[in-house]
Amino acid sequence: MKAIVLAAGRGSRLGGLTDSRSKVMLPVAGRPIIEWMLSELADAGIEEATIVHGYAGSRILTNLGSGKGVGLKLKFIEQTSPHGSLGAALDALSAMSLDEDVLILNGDNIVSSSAIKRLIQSESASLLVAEHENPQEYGVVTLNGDVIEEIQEKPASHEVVGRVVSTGALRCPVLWRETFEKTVKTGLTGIPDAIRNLLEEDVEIKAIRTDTWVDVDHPWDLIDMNAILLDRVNSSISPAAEIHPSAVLSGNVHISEGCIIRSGTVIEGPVHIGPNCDIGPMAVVTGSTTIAAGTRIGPFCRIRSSFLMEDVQVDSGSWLQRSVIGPATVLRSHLNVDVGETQKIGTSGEIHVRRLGLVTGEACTLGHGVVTAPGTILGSQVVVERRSRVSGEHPSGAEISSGGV
Amino acid sequence: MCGIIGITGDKEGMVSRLMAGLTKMEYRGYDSAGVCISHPEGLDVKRSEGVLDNLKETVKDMKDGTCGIAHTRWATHGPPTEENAHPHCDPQFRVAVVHNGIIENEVQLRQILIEANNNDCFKSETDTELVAHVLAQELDAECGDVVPDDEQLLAAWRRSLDRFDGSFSLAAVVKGRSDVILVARSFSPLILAHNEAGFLASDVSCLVGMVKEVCFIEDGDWGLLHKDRMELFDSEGNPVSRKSTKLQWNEEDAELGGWPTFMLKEINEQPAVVRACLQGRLSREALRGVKIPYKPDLVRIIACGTAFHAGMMARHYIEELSGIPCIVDHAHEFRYGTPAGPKALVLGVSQSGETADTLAGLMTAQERGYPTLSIVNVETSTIARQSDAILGIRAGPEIGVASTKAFTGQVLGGLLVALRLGRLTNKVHTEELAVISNAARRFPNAMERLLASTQLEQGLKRARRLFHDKNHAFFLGRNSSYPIALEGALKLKEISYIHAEGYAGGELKHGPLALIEDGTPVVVISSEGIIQQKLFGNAREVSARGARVIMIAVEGDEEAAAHADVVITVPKTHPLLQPIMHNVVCQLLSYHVAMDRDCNVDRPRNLAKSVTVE
Repeated sequence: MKAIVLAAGRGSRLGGLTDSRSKVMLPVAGRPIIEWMLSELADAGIEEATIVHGYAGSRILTNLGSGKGVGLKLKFIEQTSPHGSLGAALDALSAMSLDEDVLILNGDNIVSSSAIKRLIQSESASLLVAEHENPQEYGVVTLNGDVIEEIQEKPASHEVVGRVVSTGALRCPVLWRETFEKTVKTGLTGIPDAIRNLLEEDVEIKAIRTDTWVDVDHPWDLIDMNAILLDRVNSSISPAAEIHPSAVLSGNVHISEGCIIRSGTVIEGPVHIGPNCDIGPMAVVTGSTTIAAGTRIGPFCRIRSSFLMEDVQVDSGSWLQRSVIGPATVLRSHLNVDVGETQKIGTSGEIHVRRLGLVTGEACTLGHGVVTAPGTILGSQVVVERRSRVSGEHPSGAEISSGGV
Repeated sequence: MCGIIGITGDKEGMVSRLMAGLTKMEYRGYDSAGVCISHPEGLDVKRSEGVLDNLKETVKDMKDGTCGIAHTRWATHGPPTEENAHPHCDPQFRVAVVHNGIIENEVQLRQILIEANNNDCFKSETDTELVAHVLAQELDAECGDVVPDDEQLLAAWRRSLDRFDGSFSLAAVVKGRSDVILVARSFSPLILAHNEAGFLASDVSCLVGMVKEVCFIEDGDWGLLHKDRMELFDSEGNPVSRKSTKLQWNEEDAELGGWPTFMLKEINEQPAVVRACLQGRLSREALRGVKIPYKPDLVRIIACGTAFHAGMMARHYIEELSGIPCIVDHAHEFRYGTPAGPKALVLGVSQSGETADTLAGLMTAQERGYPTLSIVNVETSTIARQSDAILGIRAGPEIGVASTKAFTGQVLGGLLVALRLGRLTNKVHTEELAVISNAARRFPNAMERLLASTQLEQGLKRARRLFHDKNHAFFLGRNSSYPIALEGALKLKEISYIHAEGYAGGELKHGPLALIEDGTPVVVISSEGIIQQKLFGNAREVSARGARVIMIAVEGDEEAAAHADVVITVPKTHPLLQPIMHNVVCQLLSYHVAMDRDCNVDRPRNLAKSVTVE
């Protein structure tokens, strides 16, 4: 069976983190989200996948190549129609000339290979569903036994009828293309819209449950996804990494080629460190933390449960936890990131309560001695003057100067 | 230029493997191509003119054999016709030869052979056919009509090679000996390798995926390639053995993935190239890895084509950061020109590391006693092995004939050399190095942002329209953006066949202004400070004469729009790195203009990837 992976969207709820790449390309636990997804497909026995790209698509092509790294044969098409995920699926369906059912999945969340196998084995149209604590952000599904009765896309809070939602992973018969086209013509653009039309046509769609579904919607979800995926990373130290004998590594620690781990540095897994990072001396990095390629972490830093993207620079004595730091961001010395329970309001008005530190977009600069309040979220190219206190949310390009010393 | 490949010992899929190798080498030449399979009963030769797809059709029904050679040609002797395509045979079809390079004593040899045979027995105008004739003649003298054994093969091969002057790599098969390939190398690249079979090729890239280790044989080496071993001799006839090295690249790197063209793929790979090239190299300690034996009084840079423009950027960096005077020469001018002054350093720049003139220039410099340092992409190339020290740019295989990512790597290589020289002359202090290093860390992300920006997409869409139906274009820069103007013009002419010239803005009134007509596209590569104002002045001058100005400016430059028809902005970065960012826009502009004209951007007419002949 072949698969269609939808990867054309930006992931705009992630703010500045998706300025130069789409959500699927965020390097969580050492690999882009879409690669994790594709590996699961390969493990489930899928041999060929067609990826529909759109926003920052060149980034996807440059990274995935012909797919040998994930064990799949990959084809790429660029989404040409403006009709959301349904348009993307249609673009792929019309490019593929299929004569059997096809899997349609989202590239920005991860379903397990065992769940994919059950979709393949189900031998009929079926949808992968899972329970979620914030059902109102997804397509909420009503079940009758293991058959889908109704699907409601992003219902208002008072309308939510249960916690079971669609993961978006779908085994789709070729015939459905007609309904997809009809749905697009009525101005609807989501795959759940098409499913609702199918249900109205009395098409039987089976529900297959999974409890290993990892999805990212808001920046803070990245911290959880990072922790879950890091548990899948095995210890391995590249022979082309330079590790000082006095550095202490424990737990599952992956260190890539070209890294320098300087004296007295302590790394407690699960931690994934990408190529050419330079850490220490005397830095402490504890799990669950991902540090992407080319990052420099200075002396006496303490990094915990965080996700640092490419080419970040953290100068000496900075403390950072439960944070997401965008690529090419510079954190000058003695940054202090306060962590605490914060309430964040999601796009559909729901409230998320999370322990959260700092989130920055791309290429921010935080001066010496900056203190950030729990849940501070910055856009891209934000400049925070030395010794400022920052809290709340700030858009891209903001310049923040001393909010008090 | 031409590319050769040979396989011996494994019958399985011989034809398709040779074709796969040729496909990967197609960028070296694509005028014509051919294959010869050696069967125990005789030689089967198939050739065709034009692109490789023509040959694919011709070899469809070809039978696999245990031994084969193949060739892709870029015409130097005689036009690209089927007759002139390799492999070439003698009149009795006893030997077939493929050849990369030039036989310099061609005319004399041809005369001798015509006199000996009493007629003009040549079917082609190539020098390669001579090799086949000479080898057949020598085999005849050695063993008559009998199938030669190894010893007789070697004797005849050696006597043949003694009769050729010039630079060449050769591979030949002999009727009846479908187990062995004759090989020889003289100043042209040739690589041997083994796994379950024996391989030879003029280029690493076509062996990627077939073998894990390759052996670079040396100039003057010749001998036999068997299924499981190589029997090599040096020019004196002494047996030699050559070490194998591991391949750096994997197969994936040389494939298109989902990209429409290699050029677009390679343009988009540039952020990764910057990372690979600079990471771990910008610290005080790491800079010492750039091997320079003494503090030079003069740096002489030699290079050709795009690498020459990278050399001009390097000069800018070297003079700015180290204060050491620097001269940039075309390699072909340098090698026949003046020697460098006292205590000079000679810096060669070449993507492939096989550029014949750059290699010759470096050897000339070495003969004159100067230390040589080379900035190369292929770290196992001839130039890399010949130079006293190398700086690899780690750009990965570049397949598109028009160089893009290698240029970026070469410029960064130049920056590393300049920083090293600046440390030697105490002009670059630790703090300044930290500033540059921090800027370099942020640079790839800024480039990624540029490549993903809709502003760029929109700007290019409007800019490319201005080239519609135009036959001339100009690129203007000043100071550090001047080499980018030259490179932008070169890229445009290479792939779109529009006549384009790069000029320093100040030169405008000294001639080129006369060529500005109504609608002539002029690309202005803006810079900073006083230079920026001067360039705005130039933009006004050309637009007053009807030119359509495309300005490449830095984000936040609000004045630029007032002087241009189309403004494309790029993220602001360190002034030393800014020109590289501007260049990405030039590359994409040329790409789209060429695509609008339906040009083959990966394999432009008349050009070859690495120029391994003079």
